[in-house]
Amino acid sequence: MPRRSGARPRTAPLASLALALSILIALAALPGGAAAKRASAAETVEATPAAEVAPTPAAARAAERAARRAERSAAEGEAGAASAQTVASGTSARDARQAARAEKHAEHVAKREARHTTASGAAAPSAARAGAQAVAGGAGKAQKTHLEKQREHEKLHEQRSRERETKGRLRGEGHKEREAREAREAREAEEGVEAGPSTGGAGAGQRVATAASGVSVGPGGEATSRAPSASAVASARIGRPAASSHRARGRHARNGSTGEAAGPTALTAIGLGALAAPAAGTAAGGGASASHPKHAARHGGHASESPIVKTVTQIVGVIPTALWLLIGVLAFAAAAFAVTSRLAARRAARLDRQRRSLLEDVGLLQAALLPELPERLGPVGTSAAYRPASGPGAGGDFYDVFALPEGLLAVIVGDVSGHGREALPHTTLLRYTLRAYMEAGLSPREALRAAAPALERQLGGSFATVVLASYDPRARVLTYASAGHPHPIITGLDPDAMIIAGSAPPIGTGRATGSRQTVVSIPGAATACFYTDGVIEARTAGRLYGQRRLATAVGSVRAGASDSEPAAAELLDRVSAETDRRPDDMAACLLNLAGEHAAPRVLEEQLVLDARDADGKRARRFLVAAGLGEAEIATTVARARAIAAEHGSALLELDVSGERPRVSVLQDNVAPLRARALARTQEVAL
Amino acid sequence: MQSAPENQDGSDPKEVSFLITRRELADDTSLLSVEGDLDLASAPSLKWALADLQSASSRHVVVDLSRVSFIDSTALGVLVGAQRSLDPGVKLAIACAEENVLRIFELTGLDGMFEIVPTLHDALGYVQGSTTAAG
Repeated sequence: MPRRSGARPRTAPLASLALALSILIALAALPGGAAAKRASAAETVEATPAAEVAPTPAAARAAERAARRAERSAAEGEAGAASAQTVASGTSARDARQAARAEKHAEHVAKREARHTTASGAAAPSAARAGAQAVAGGAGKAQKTHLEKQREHEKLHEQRSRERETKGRLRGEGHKEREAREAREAREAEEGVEAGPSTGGAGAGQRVATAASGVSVGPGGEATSRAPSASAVASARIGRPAASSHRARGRHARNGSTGEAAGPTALTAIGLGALAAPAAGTAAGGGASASHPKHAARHGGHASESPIVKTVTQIVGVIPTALWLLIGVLAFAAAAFAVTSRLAARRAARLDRQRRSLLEDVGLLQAALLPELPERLGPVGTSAAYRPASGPGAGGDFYDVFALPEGLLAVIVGDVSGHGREALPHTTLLRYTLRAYMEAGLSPREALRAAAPALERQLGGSFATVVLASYDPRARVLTYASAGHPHPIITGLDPDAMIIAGSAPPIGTGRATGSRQTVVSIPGAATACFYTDGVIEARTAGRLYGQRRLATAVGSVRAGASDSEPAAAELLDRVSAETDRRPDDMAACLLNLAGEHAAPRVLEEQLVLDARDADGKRARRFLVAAGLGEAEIATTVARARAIAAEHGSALLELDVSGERPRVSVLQDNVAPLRARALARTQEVAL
Repeated sequence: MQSAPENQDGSDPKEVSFLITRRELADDTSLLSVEGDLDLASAPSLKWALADLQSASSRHVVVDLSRVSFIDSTALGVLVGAQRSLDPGVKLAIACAEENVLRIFELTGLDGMFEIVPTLHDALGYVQGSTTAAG
């Protein structure tokens, strides 16, 4: 079934999407994580010696002037401080390192400034340029973006404020206060040890990014070129406390890994900035987050606080590049697979819809070709039902029930070989052709015999089984004739007791049909059920439903149904409920006859012998089945053969209404019909 | 006796085991042995097997339905179609002793259309004997 098969494709896209998503997340974590490992080692080496360099007062002053200038230019030139916040803590680590590196250079600048007693404004640009060079050289080819400069500038601002405060404190603060401050800084440094790897990682990640956009340093103008020197000044100014605090807490740092060693320095910078902030009151952008030590620590240490994230970062760090490429390819393949399978599932669903709609159309067409029956025709309750098979067997059954002149009623039920679209024109052809012959006043057998040759020419190789019946309500007599079709079931009559010998072949087999007819008296209440073989060929666990079970079902439907109820639909519902496999269409047509309880009985069986049956085998079987004696059979067959030889066909009428069956041999009345027509044509010709 | 199955009922293998075996016998005779139910599902296999026989232009054809327990209108239609499309010189006989199948042939009025004999031996005798008589 389409639905069952659809369930599996639906889960596949979800699974592959989940896989793709997880791989993509892992990929996203790659640059920061991998870079973290690379960066931490380098920073450790650089941080320590730089921090220990103490600046001269002159250099500090000169650098401060340069820094102020740079600060102004930076404020004018750069505005994107907001984004700096996200990497503020990472930048702090680099700030400290860079500051230390630039320190040395700032010293040179200061000395040079001392030598040349020109205006400080003239010295500043050169100091800035020198600072920029120092950074470019000292940072090991790592270049800075505008953004970083901006952040450094803000950091510098805080640090300068801090410097002022420190000076004031050095003047005014007592021994206890200093101890308290150092203890606080020590605490912060410890936190920084934890924050170390991640801050270093972020910083290094930034540096990687910077290398790509390194061009911006050149055309950045004065604002950018001055920024490094400004930070250099800041470093020079805070150099002593930073260095001292680092020395003081070096024990903690060195206890950790080399990567963590960068932590104290970084956090010292943060801590200092935080301390400075309240006093200066000008912290902005990246400074905002740094202005609260706890906040900063949370920001910086957020990722590393979770052991899971730490583990993942480490795992991610050791995966080789080739594997990353492979994962990327796999992720792409998974995504592509998800998309294609989703599309395939949608296409399958669409095709299934179209198929169902087409089957419905065929069903509608079939229904349009099958007539709506009146609830009753005269005294007879009529009902018909049709259950097309959903499979390839759909669309070959047809039926009709209609009133004949003089109060008679006619039934046509048939089945065309071949199914589906090609069967539909044949079903209508058969139904209307046979109806016309019936309405012309022929008996069922005569109608079949007369219509068959014409129908066979139009069936184009197909053949059809059909049963025709007429019911006379006044005489309460049902007359039916079959052409290769199952005989009707009449409640009260044993289907196995019926004479089937010499049954007529279907229409379209190349042989004359309409050669058998049965006349049944139905004096009491009974149901006559006409059906197609799809009903008795339905199966339960491989076993055929069969005529016998159908007869039982017809009996129970009759017992439970009033005349006005659609008994045929109820019958087919019951057959459907009792079977598990119905490969062919099912059609049923029911005549409900009211009356007293009186068993129906067969009055007459008719057999037409053709010249083709000249050997008499067929007539013999028929008469044997009827229970005639051998002597009577022999004389009857002999007479029939003689008549058939003379007139083309002979009719055997077997009266089985009495105690003993009586047979009479007549001329077939259909052959004279044709002969009369031929004679008339000849008269016209004369 | 039976060789490898030539056709298998694809609808439900565990429910219906249906197979057609074709054998070429002496005197230009083809034998189709059918086993299982001949119904809507297996009728196409029979149709193809008979079509192959016709294209092979065997002079004598015997369809052995001794091991067939049921035949429906579709399969009967296939047999009717084969019978009608046979060359005039080709003889076809059906070997069948199964009461159910014979009853279906009779009920549909097709018993008069085919030469239906009880045994395979009778069938072979009919198709080969009649040719000898004609020749």
